Amino acid sequence: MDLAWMLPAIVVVPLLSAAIVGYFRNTWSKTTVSWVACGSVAAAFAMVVALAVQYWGAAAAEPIRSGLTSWGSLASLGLVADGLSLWWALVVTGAGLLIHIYSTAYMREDESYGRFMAKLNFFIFAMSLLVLSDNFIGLAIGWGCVGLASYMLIGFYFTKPAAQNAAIKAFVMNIAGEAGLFAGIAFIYANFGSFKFDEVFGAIAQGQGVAALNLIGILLLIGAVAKSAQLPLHTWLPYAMEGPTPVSALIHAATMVTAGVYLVSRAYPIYEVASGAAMTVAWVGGLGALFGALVAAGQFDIKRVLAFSTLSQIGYMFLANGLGAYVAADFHFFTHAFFKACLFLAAGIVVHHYNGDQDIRHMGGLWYRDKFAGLTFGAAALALIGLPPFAGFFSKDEILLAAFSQGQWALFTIAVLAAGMTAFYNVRLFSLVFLGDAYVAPVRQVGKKRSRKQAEAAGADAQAHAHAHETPAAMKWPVAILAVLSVVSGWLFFGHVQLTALAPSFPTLDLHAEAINPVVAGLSVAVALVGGLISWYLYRPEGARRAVELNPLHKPGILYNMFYVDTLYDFLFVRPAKETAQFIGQLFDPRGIDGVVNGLGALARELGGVLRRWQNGLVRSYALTVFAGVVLVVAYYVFYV
Amino acid sequence: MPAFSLNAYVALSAVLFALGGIGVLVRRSPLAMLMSIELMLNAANLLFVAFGRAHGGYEGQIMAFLVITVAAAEVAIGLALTVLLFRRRPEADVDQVNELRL
Repeated sequence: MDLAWMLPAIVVVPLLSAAIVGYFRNTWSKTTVSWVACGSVAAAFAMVVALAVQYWGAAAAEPIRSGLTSWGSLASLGLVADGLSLWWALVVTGAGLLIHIYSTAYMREDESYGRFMAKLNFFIFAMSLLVLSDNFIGLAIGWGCVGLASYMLIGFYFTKPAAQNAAIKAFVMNIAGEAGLFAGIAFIYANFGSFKFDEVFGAIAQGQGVAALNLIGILLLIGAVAKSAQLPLHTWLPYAMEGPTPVSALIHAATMVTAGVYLVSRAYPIYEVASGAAMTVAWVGGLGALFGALVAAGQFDIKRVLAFSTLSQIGYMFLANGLGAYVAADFHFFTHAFFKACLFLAAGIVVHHYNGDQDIRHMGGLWYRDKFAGLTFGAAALALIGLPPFAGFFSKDEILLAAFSQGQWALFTIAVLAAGMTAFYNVRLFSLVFLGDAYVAPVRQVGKKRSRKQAEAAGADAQAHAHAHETPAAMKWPVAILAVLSVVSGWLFFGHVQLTALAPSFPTLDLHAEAINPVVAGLSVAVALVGGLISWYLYRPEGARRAVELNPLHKPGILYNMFYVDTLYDFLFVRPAKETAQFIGQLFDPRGIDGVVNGLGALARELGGVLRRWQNGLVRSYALTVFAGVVLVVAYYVFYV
Repeated sequence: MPAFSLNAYVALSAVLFALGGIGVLVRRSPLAMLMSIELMLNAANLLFVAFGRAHGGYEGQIMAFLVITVAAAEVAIGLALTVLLFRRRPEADVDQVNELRL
């Protein structure tokens, strides 16, 4: 059966749904909006599954192709379903569906519910286009559209200045990256005369244009780094957490921020040849993995901890990509999408318990009130730490193994250290949120003093309110499914399964399944255990460091301030930009541009003022003028002609 | 009839024209200005006729007739305006009639 028609349908159905839901967002009931929005993503997911069955079920995996446009060949956009794109599309639509369902409950109380679902649908369209395109143009269009979706959803609460600023920050930094990406694509076209993956990579396989590949690789990397929030263009990601939690889970954890990983995996023939660019990818990733894990240990906002954890995990994927272990990178993307989405969605439940307060210093003891959130969060955190048999262990192990077997000792050490830090910040996060005593807000003594009775009444009120949060089923089920996947997706897909799934996309590589190396696995687990135990010692309910950080007078240090990278960028870029804008807005525009325009007007007026004196209405003055003219004309003829 | 030289006609015409011009410039009564304009036109007519006769053709005289016709039309309009002006104002001073000024 020919299923090629499904490819454009996967892309178009969520886009149509976004348009329809966006148009009827205020007329339809929230239930109708939910059904349409989730239904379109479910349809897309079903079609991806059908294609996957067809593709992987066939004996010889032949990519399924479809055109998207009917115009000429040069810029024709096509879609392709091969191992890599199906692998990614499965996660995009699958995780997207779960998070859509979660959002129907999480965002239901919001007055802009329809707008939210429409934007979420638009994101699914953009991301599907990104991963299903068979050429660089389609990829770039999807790339830009996911950036737009990210911008719209970070700034979803557009009345909050912080959200607006975060949205602008994310958009501007991504534009900076896109400049690199587009330059890279332009160089590709200049060198190979085509935008199609097959033609470009075929030309590279024949040894064409090798000289430019390092440059192209670096330019593509700039785009990937900005989109995936890697060093040094990572500063937008923590602020992106201003968006609603499902957005953080879907866009800023599971799918969009990993687009850079997809790009490098997809363009692997370039990085196979361009060893310099590949090593840059590896180092960017390795340093990002350690940086993110370190900074995550110093944050107090639950979603920011997870954001830096995402940064760190994507760093692992970049590391694997740079070392040529593309399958490992894609496998880690796969497991990471599940456990990180699970963490974010569970964090959404947690935040609901605290009425939107995301500060982990104001939490504590939640385990005794909500076992479900604790269990799912814990399972996903263990997967993130990478303890066997949780999912993260298998995928991270492949990455460490790649560094180990290639003898990249510096990168291997960094990656193992980052694994230790990962355990450290996860134990800290879990302990601060779920264990210990519940946080008691200090009674304000400023101003009017409250009587003991009033304080007690307020406390009872708060307690009653806290117990009122029963998590709806539409939020529980997606979290539960993702938690199960974070437990099982590792060993279920480890080894042969992912290799046979992905290998057709890497035809020039000699891929074979590797068993778990006891040295590497033992080392990473041991380091993780050490990191976790140190963290437990410091942050357990009666831990010393916990007391220090919970003290309201505690001053956060360098980790909380993200190594002052943001401060530096503020100083280097934001302030000069603001000063320039101020100069242009307050001096150059009113004095310079307006000055020229107003000056021309004033000149005409002055000139007219002089000339109007001539036209005084006196007959004899006109007569004199006529006479003078006659005299002049006559004089001219007499003396010169 | 004594025959005067052409130069004499030209000189007379120049004197008449200058008198007319000065009259237009210095008199403030519209009636006097009209008369001065007539003087200038007739100075021109004198030249036309004098040169026409010197050349022995009729063109100059024809031109003089045309000028007389135009002058008659002009005087008709000018006098009508002057009469209206006298009706509207106690005295007719062209310097007071400056409503066309912007």
